[in-house]
Amino acid sequence: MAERVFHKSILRNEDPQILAGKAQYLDDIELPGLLYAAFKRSDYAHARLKSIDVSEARALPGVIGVYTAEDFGDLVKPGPLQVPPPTAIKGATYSSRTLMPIAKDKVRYSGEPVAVVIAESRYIAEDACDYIYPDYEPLEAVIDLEKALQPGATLVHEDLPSNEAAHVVQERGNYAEAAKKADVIIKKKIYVDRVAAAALENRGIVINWDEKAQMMTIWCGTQSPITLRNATASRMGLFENQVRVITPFTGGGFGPKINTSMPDDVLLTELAVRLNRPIKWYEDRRENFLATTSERDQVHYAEIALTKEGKFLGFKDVFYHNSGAYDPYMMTVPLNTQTHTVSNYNIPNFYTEITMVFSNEMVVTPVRGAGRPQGVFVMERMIDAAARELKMDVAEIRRINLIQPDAYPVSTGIIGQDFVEGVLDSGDYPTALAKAMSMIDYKKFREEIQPKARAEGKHLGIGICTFTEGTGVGPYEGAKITVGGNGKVSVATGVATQGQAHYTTFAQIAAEQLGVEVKDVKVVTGDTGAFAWGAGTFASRGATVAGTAIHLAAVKVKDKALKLASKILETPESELELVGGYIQVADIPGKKISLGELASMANPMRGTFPPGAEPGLEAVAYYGPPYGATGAGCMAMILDVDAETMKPKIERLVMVHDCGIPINPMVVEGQVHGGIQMGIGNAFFEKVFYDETGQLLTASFMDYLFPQATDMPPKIEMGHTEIPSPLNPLGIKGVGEAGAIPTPAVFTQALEDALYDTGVEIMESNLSPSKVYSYVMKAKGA
Amino acid sequence: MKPAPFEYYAPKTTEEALQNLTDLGYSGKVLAGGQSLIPAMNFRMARPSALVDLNNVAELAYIKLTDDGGIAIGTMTRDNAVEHDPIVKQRMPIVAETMGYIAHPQIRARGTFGGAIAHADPAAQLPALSLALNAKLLVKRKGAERWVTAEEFIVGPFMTVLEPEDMLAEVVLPPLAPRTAGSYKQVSRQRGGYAQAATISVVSLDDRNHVKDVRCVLFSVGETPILSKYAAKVLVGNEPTEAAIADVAAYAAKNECDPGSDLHGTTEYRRQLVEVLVRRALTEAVLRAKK
Amino acid sequence: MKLEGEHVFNGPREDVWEMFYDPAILASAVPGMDKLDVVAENVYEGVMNVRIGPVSGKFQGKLTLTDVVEPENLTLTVDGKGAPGYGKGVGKVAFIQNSDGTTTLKYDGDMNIGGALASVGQRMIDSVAKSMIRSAFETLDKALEARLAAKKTGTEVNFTPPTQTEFATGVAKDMVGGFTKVPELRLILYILPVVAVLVILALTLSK
Repeated sequence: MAERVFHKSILRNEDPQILAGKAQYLDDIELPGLLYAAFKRSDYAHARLKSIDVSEARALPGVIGVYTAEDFGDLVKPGPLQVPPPTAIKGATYSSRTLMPIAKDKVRYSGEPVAVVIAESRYIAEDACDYIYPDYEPLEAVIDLEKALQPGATLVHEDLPSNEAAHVVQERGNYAEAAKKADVIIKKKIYVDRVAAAALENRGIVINWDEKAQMMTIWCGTQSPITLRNATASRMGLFENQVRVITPFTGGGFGPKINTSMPDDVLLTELAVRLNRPIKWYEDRRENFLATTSERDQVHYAEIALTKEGKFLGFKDVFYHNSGAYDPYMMTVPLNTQTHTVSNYNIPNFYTEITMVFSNEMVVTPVRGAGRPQGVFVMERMIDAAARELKMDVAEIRRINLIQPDAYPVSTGIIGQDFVEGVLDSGDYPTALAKAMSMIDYKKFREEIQPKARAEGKHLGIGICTFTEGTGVGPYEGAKITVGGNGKVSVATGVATQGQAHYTTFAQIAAEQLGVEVKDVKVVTGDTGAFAWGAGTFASRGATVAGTAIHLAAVKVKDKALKLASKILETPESELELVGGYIQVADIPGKKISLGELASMANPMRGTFPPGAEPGLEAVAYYGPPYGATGAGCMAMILDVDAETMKPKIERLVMVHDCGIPINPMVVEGQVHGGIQMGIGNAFFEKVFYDETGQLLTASFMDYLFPQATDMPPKIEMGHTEIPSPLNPLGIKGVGEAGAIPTPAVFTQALEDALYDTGVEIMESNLSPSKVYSYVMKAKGA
Repeated sequence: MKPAPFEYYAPKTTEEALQNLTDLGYSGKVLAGGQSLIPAMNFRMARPSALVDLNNVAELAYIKLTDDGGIAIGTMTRDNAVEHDPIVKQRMPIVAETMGYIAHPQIRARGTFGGAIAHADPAAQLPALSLALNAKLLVKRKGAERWVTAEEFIVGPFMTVLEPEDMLAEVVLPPLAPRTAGSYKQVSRQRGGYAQAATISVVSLDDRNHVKDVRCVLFSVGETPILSKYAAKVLVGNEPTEAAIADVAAYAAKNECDPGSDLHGTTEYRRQLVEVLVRRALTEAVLRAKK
Repeated sequence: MKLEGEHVFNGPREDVWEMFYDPAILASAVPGMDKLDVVAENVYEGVMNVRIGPVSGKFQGKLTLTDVVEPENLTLTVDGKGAPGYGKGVGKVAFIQNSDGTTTLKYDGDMNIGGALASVGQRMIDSVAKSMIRSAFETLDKALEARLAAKKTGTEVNFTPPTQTEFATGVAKDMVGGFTKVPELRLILYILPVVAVLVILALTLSK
């Protein structure tokens, strides 16, 4: 029997290459005659662009061209929607205003491109930008979401009647009725602010147009190579297969790289063809903060209705979601918020209302968590407020309200980002809570450790929250598996990789079926020349959806191999097994044939070929789930707060997590760790800060603080529960965003607990010691 | 993030460098470690027309004892060389302690002792350290040199007495009296980050454990590092009691600093930090001096 | 950002007003100003090369005086645009004659900074701006003193405005109280109007 490679912590296939500096990243790509691009960007968040003088810039030596909206003609029109509108939700209203490739007549966010420079080097291109003189007539910036909706407010899009971008109401049960029966109703305003993805590698693109071959090659660290290819081909009137998108090794994605039809890929593909020279563009860090999408920024008015024993009767959440200046990503983020607000708990009556608002800030599209953290933050903070009111233990009030393990599948009655009703496929939330409590010694902490610390004047606090993570949504992904003449296996799939270990986990899935070594499975992702059907890497769906397609394709190849081998070895299929790259007869080890030989034999050079057969050992398979699989977990944290400086230290962090059956537990832990780091950032360090005129004040790591190794807890204690998903044969669920989802809620709860003697209550995330100090002073009545 | 065009000069000797600076006048700017200047240039916030790079002037990097037991440090001595130097560690532990807070080890491998002082960033450690230790600074220009005290040297945020043709050549740290110890305290958002408030407090005790001398410097809470006059007034000649220290801390926080408000902290919060940090630093310095 | 404060001048209101409501003086007194043109009544335009510490930048500046009630108050709008970013400030400036012969100048306005300056310059600009305000008032004090002295003796107010960098280092030295060389003598005699101060503030302040 072949050794099991699935559900094993195997070291990664891609690491030797990456660590030895042999991996090709975007900036490693050099082409003869390469030109460099730079964008001149608007300083103003909202202004009329009256004119733009580029004459001086054009004259600079080394500048090939300087282009404004005028030079692009028809190309300057709103781009395609990245995500379809929410027509599936009854009563939803929306206005789509997609991204413009370049500003014409008006700028709507600080950083919007107004001109593009092509030059011999990036240095010269940036020099040229200094000599471009736009003439702006500043307009009032729309920043506050609620003010933006008041009559008479300045309009971001003047052809619309208001700044409302969309409005969606969803309800299950009847909240108003439930509230009437409640013993306690608690209302709070909760605020979650913006964070950036801040991937290690910024966005960039290299474009080469081969005029003779009539082929365009695009290298880009994109999360959606196929969409990029198709949009480019469509725009340029080419066949899809005249455009090849290749994703090199990419230094992180985390969401913003999912966007296509951005100014760079629209304008630079056009210029590459016009100039007939390859073009490279990379944003710098400031541009990444300024003009690459970011996310969160919601204002919630939440209400919870309970019995005096702490049973949740109903939950109401009316919230405003900032879409930024445009809404190409439609409602994905706020729909995720809606679906993740009440996900762990039994709340029969749930009313949720989104008003999505345009503002003069950068566009909002998913960043790791993608709306889920906001939902969880709101819910968990409301539960804590209820616990405080009812004088109940925070873990206990959760325990009595969790969905029980025998309830699945659970229809939530709320439509999510995939436009179908969310169904919780499987899970065991009470076990996760109990396990987390046990791992962090919750009882001992409450009964011994904390009282002792408090008597000594120390401020130790504990936080514990549960969460779910919707993953593995459709529409579908596909894969092609081919056994080479060398006996090794090639896997090609349409999703792209930004560091999630696809080269290993996908190989494990294929190797498990085909009995080869994991290192002998070569995985190609994100190359439309290798595979060109699929949606992209987002919503923690790569492993689940593409992984399942790979599994199905591998099973097909295995079947073909067994069938052919059975004929050749004159043995029934049931007596054959795939081991070490061979198909052999189970009890006669000498009687075997290598996969490579088999593959060659499956492709005859001459002679006849059976009707209906397919050559080679190759198969393609597609998989699309009926709805997404739902991972879940429970996080607990102990904070030690210096009550004079308000600086917290994470003493312990426990994460119990369920992602179904993990393909590679080591990889899963890595994903969770990474998510936790971003979650800690969201809780206490990161904030994309726009001032009241729409100026971005945090455009470098001096001011946008990203957790360092020194900000992380000394150890992340992980517990796993494995509740397989019934939705796919491998039982897997996604996990990419898990760590980022509960952390701000847990952190804030622990902070309040630590500062118990101040009576402070904090209903916002993106905190800082100074912010906490202000809260404490206010609570003290200062 | 590419800098605007500039001319580049790479002198090999101090003399050559001073000639460059004289020739260039207002268009020249000294490049020392570059850890502050280069990022400012990459942001195009700083646009010097010409850089005079001192990194090839080997004679400007040294650490040696002065005749009276003090330490003379050449301006181009790398931060990490000073931080790990055994003589410095033995004679002035406060120096090594302070320098551990300067950004990160990678930065300290390039940043220079003199460069940081000449840059005079209000939030920087070395200008504050030079004030706390009453350093003497050697300013050279073509054909002339003069000594300036740390107190005189820095005149405003990012502003020193250096004229365009001047270069800071050496920093001399006077010997510490016996029974002298210091303490560094800061609060920053992250390890290695800019301080939201910080203090370097150096205390000298006599044999009765009364304060003979105290230099309590606050920084990152004003336009320049601030030497607390009140600390000297209250503590010199007296016993450094808990009450006295608390008094100094409260006063310094209220009256001797001028912290601004920014994204990371309000003025109130930073005053609170000053009070806490001065209290903790003086307490620790006294404890260490007693040993 | 809100910008408000006051400063007491050691002289009568008319002289304080005169001191900076003079476009000719404005032109030569603003540090780094290449030229200042009067483009309309109470509207001035010019180019400024700002250099404070390591930060430098070239800005196109426009100053507009409105609601002028001589010699009591006026509203000043300052608009500066350059590659590093832009600054726009609107402020009400009031001149109050005090019974002891001094004049209190009160300013109350709003300042907005944008572009690269706002997004990466936050840390640097705050302390620099404060220093500039303080030193500007100190310089104004000296200028007023010189002007009043010249009036008394009947001599011409003879001044050569310092270059922008001379201003920066000179003012700095002045603050410490140590005059060392020639530029400082010139320093005493030049006039730096509050208008110019607000120009500088407009271009270097942040939130």
